[in-house]
Amino acid sequence: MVELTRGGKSPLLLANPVIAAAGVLGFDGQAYRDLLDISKLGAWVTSPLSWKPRGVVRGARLVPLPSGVLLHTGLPNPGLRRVLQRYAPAWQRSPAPVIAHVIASDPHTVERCAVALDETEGVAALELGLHDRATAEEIAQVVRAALSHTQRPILVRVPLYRAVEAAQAAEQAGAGGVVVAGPPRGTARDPLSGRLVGGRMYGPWLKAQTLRAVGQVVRAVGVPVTACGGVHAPSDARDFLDAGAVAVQVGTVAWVQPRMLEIIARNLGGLELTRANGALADEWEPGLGQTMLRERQRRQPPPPPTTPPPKPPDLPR
Amino acid sequence: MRETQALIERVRRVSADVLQIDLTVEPALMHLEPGQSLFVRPVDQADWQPYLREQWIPVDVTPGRVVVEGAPTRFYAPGDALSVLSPVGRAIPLRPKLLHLLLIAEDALPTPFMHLARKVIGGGVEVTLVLRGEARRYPLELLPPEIEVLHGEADWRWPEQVEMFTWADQVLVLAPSYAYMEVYGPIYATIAQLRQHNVPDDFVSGLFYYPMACGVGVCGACLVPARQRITACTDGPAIDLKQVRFP
Repeated sequence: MVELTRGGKSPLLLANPVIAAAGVLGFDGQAYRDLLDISKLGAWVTSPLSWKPRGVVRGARLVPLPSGVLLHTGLPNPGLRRVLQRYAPAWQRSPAPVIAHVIASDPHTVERCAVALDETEGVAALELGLHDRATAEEIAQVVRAALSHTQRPILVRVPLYRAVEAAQAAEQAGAGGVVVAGPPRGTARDPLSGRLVGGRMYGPWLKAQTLRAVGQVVRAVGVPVTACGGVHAPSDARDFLDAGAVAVQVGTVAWVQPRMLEIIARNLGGLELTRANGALADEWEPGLGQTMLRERQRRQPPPPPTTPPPKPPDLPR
Repeated sequence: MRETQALIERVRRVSADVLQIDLTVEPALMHLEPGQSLFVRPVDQADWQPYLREQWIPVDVTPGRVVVEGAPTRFYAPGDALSVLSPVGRAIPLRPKLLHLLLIAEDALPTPFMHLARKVIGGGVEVTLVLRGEARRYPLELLPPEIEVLHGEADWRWPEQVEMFTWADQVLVLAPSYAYMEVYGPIYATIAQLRQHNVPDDFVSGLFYYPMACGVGVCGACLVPARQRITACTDGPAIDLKQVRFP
């Protein structure tokens, strides 16, 4: 089991370290229902939620980048009340734990969201999405606002370029875990309209920057760290675990290769044996991959003796 | 939605703006309805450039074969294997007792109309296509001969415009994604005025082909400004303009 949060009354434990990031599976987790089995995931994060409804921005929203994409939507959602009316029943039936992503714009709305989500069955934890410019004091305020109104574990998704400072502030305020990191912002020219568009950037190129941030945050805080950014293959996910993350959130690769989400989850869950053939096993068997490791260890020659060999007896001259 | 593989059989550069690609497809793709499209990525693409899948719009669907058409964005060759997510979107809803269909394309290739036009013409529906701006560059030899083609002027007028709006049983409008509001708004306002603000459901629809990322209605890239949550990839491409909130 993977411990995603520490402290509090109910730490979040997952069977698999692979999580679908916010915005990948929508509000009900059904976005790719025909293409991937979310029961194979450790958990999934809902699309971003706010207390009041948020509309979509007008104008260009998607600009292709070299090996990535810039997306600017304004985090549209119908507001928490309507989301709960429509999707809370699906959360209760979800085969994987549901983490509600709350847009942490200010303490007051976070507080109201925390109260509503605390009363909702099927919510395993809350993930607070920080704004890029959130100060340490503002981070502390939103975390405390959430903690004082819910028993659920609290994760805080920190901005990439101020990850250490934000993660420390979140930990000191009582967050159970941190997610490193939210997608960074950028500006690009839309080739269709010719206008400059600002938004959040996604793609495999994020991995190197996120990997560095994860390593720094792991050394700076004592709570579990979940990596998020640039994971597009099982090897990417393993790199983040090697850097000290306890779990990884997988995001936009699902837009391009929806099945990759499940492939990464199966890989990290222990199905290493089937990777060579690119096949998926029919049965889910956590720990199966250890057999290959054990087999390799068995084949290896015994380690050299640590004590010097005994002296041969003196032969008669 | 399901993931299948397709094979490029033939690539035709029809004009400077139009590329047609013949695909050999799995049987599941033979049931594509007019309006539904494919979300495509080369199977052997090792890098992430381009990153997102491309939306390909069928113009003809026959058993085992789908012809798609669009502006050339990259090099494709016969023999290339493709990963295809489909179907993207819903079939374009047709009004009951449809006899006269009016199609309007402004500054956009009328490709999304072609599959629909072929299908309804076979059912005896009269189709008129109005081409404006860049749409006039579309090679007319690609159109079924039964389609009546008109060229509109820059101020949104064409011969017998008013009569046509009243004669048509259904109107579909197409524009580039960056100009949806500027094009669809005036069209809807004109029709609403002619019909004394009593526009029937699905009488005038806009086709929305925003650049999209996920294709399953989650990412928000193709959200249509409306009172309800409408995503072009799952609820479109044809959206009743009565539901759209124009600025």
